[in-house]
Amino acid sequence: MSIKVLTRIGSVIVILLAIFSAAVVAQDMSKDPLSAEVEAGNLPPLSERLPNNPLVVGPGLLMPEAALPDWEPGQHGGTLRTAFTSAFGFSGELFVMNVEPIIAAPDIDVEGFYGNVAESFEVNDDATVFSFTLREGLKWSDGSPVTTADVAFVFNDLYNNGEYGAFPNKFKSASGTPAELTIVDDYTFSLAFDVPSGGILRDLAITGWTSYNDMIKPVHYLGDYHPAHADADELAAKLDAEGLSAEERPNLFNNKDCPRFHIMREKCIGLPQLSPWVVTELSESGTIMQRNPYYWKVDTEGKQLPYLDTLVAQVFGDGEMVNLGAIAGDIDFLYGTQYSNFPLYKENEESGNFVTIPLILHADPTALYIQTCNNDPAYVAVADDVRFRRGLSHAIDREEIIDVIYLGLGSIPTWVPAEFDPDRANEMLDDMGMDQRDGDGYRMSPAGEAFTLYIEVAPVRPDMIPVTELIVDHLGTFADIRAELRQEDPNVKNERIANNETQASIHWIQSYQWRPGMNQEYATSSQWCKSWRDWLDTGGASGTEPPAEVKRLYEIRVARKATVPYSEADLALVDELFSLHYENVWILPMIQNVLRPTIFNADFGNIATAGTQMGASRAGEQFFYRTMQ
Amino acid sequence: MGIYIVKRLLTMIPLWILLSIITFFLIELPPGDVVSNEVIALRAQNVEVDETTIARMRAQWGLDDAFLLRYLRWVENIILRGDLGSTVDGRDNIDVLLETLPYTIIIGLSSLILSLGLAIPLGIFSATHQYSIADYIITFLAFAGLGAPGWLLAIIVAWASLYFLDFVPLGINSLEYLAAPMSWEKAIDTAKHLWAPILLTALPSIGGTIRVVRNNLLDQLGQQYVVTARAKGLKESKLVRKYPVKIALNPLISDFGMLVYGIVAGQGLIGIVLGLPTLGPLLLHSLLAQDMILAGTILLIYASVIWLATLASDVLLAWFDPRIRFEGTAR
Repeated sequence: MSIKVLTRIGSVIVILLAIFSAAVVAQDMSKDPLSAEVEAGNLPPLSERLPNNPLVVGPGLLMPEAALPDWEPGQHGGTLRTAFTSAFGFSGELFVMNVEPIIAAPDIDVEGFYGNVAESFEVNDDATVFSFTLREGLKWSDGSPVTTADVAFVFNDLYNNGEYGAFPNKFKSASGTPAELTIVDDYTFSLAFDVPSGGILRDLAITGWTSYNDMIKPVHYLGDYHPAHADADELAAKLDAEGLSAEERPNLFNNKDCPRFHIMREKCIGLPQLSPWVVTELSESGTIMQRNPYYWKVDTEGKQLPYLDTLVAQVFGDGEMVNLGAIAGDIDFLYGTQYSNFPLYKENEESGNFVTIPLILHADPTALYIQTCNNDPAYVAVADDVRFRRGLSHAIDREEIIDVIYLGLGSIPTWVPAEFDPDRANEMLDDMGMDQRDGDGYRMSPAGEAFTLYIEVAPVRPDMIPVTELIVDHLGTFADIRAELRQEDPNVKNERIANNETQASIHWIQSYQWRPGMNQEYATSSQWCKSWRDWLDTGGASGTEPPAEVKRLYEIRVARKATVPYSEADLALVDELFSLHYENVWILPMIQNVLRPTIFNADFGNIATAGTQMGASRAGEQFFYRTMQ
Repeated sequence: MGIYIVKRLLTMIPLWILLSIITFFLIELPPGDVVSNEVIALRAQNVEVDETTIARMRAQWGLDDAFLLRYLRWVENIILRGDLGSTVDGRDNIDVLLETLPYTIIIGLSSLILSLGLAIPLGIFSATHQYSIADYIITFLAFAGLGAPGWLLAIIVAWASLYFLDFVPLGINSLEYLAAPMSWEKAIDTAKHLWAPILLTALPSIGGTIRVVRNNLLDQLGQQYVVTARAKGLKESKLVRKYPVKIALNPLISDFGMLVYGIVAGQGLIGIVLGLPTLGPLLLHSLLAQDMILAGTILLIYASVIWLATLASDVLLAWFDPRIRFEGTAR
């Protein structure tokens, strides 16, 4: 072979190689939503921004396939517009879209956990030691690596440092002992509990829409505001600049740190985060979040998530104006706040270019709480009789409430005796001695005194007042119980409940259908006999002593801290919990399996058509526009 | 005159102090505080907040300190550090005020100019053409403007705009311009959003001013001096402009403070309905959240505006009407 041929072959090879590497680069670019920034030299290439083992999002991962059957890889770009009215700069939609727990399960379930922020996790046989491995190469939104130093910072310098507040209950075992953190290496750490604590999996994955930031905080950034990491003189200068005294130095830190529900605040601009979007701009008109260039999830084709570039939440005066904005086509994603607006949304889908999808609410929106811990012995004499509470339950025509207020988008609750049966209701009330009527035809108490049931309600949600009005009407019509609605400021209502001054009140309760996922409200709460809860929490040091059945509820709650969700032991405890509720009827839910209208831009891909509203929105990183405007 | 104005301005200082204490105290009265309200708002969105975090938030607001201590701290921060505190959503109050004040002033001044510019000529016309068809139409519209609540009109205008123009004048900018730097397109977009609040804020004061001008002018038109001037052969338009209108406008000027107050207060409700980044919605939100620092600051701004407007009306009156002597009012 001549030199000429050889050089020709060589040049062909060079050209082929060039084409091949260009194709590789091009492919890498198509996976990188920020390739322009990379070319301009403002960002390292995608491969350096992603962890070694990014989380691959595909069918069934964020939402089960039953809820999102036609998952598909999407394309980058576009802005999602939403609206909020809150006085606290809080958009529920954006909040849930940006929640990233350390472990997670499809939808908002507590079965089928996978490592989310953590690459993997392990639980030992008796559920006392939980080991986590962080993703190697995982980076904060500023490009700094995430390591176990960020975990040690949280546990050693905040939770175990009295100056920065008490050790959070979330990381305490059933016996009340704080978990012990062991750092193995840069990426591996473990939490050890003194007694089995399988229930913590639920708290790590979902409870209260948890996110990574109560376990991992950027020490390279926040350390500058904490005495354990910052230079003493610099810290003193910072305190001085903010007008804080030495005792107030936790405030210096707290003014820089963002709990998960504060991610839309000004102090979070520049805070290293792990969420798909980070807040970049804030004004009285709205909030703007931009993609996190270091986000650690990719789709099945290797494209970095999220697909959407930007989230915008506009501030609106009130809910009706939000609806107007939706109809005008100014909104791409919105939780319908009022069930009665469903037809309005449906009618205007075309003009507003959106689809309205009914998704399951994880809470039952209205329940009547009978506060038998009341201070008034005359009232307790009536309300403490289970026949009274069961009688009330049978006297309420829930079907009417569901049809009128919730447009039929729900079903009759199953965890209390809830059939509408006025005869049985009247029989029970007669039985317990309320068979005497006063001059107006209303039942008197067994002691022969006039009786009125005051139902207190704070209209924090628009369906609460109309539901209460129907309850009042039904109790009077079908059971001759005189009931009266008392509308209150939520602060007043909470205070009255805490002081045992409330007879009955309206509030939501976590949904029965989500039984394994919850652990909170069914064993007394701030809305149900808070003084009982205080007594139980403090072992009798404060509050008032609850009856034995309620003590058992609390024992179940504590016991469930030990049991792994969906384990036989856990399900048995849940069953016992609800049979206690069925027997005692302290809380009268009005509706179960509620579907809440949710608006999505008609052009969005990867939108769940079933499942929970919260699960569907937590999967926001996989939303994408099918056609780019 | 100068001394008089300085004296009047100085009286604002004790009034400020008094007002700040009263507002701070009043906002504290109802149960709950800024943190308990935030926790309620979060729980309404199903976000649980644990006790440790709540304690931390209370410490950040200094809520566990005594009332007097918090008040003094507020004053101290303003005077020593120029620090107005921060809002419930964590922005510096000074930034929030600097963002909302320009829009508030633009809307307030525009509607003031619009209402005076429209109402005075219409009022004069109405009076000089008493009981004509035009007078009836103007009178009807004036009463309608006075009677219809601004917030209701705002809702109607928003819906009408959606159905006829396919555009909702909510907020100060369309979403796509929220983050955009100022440009011609953005300015046009802002103008498209501003006409509704300006017009709606002006309406009640247009109505009121028309009625005031018309009635005062009618009083004057029957007076002897007008008849005399007319008998001397003065041209009607010159006659009206030269004598009775001047006198008819006097009560308007002395009422200037109340006019400004009406525009400031009316703008609040309209701003809330239309979702504007102005002082009104900010005050409402801070009151709902029981953020006494921001609410107190806004109330002080409102009070100062009204004091200044009253002062301006006194000065204007003296300048406009030579019969009023400065020396007499100063003493």
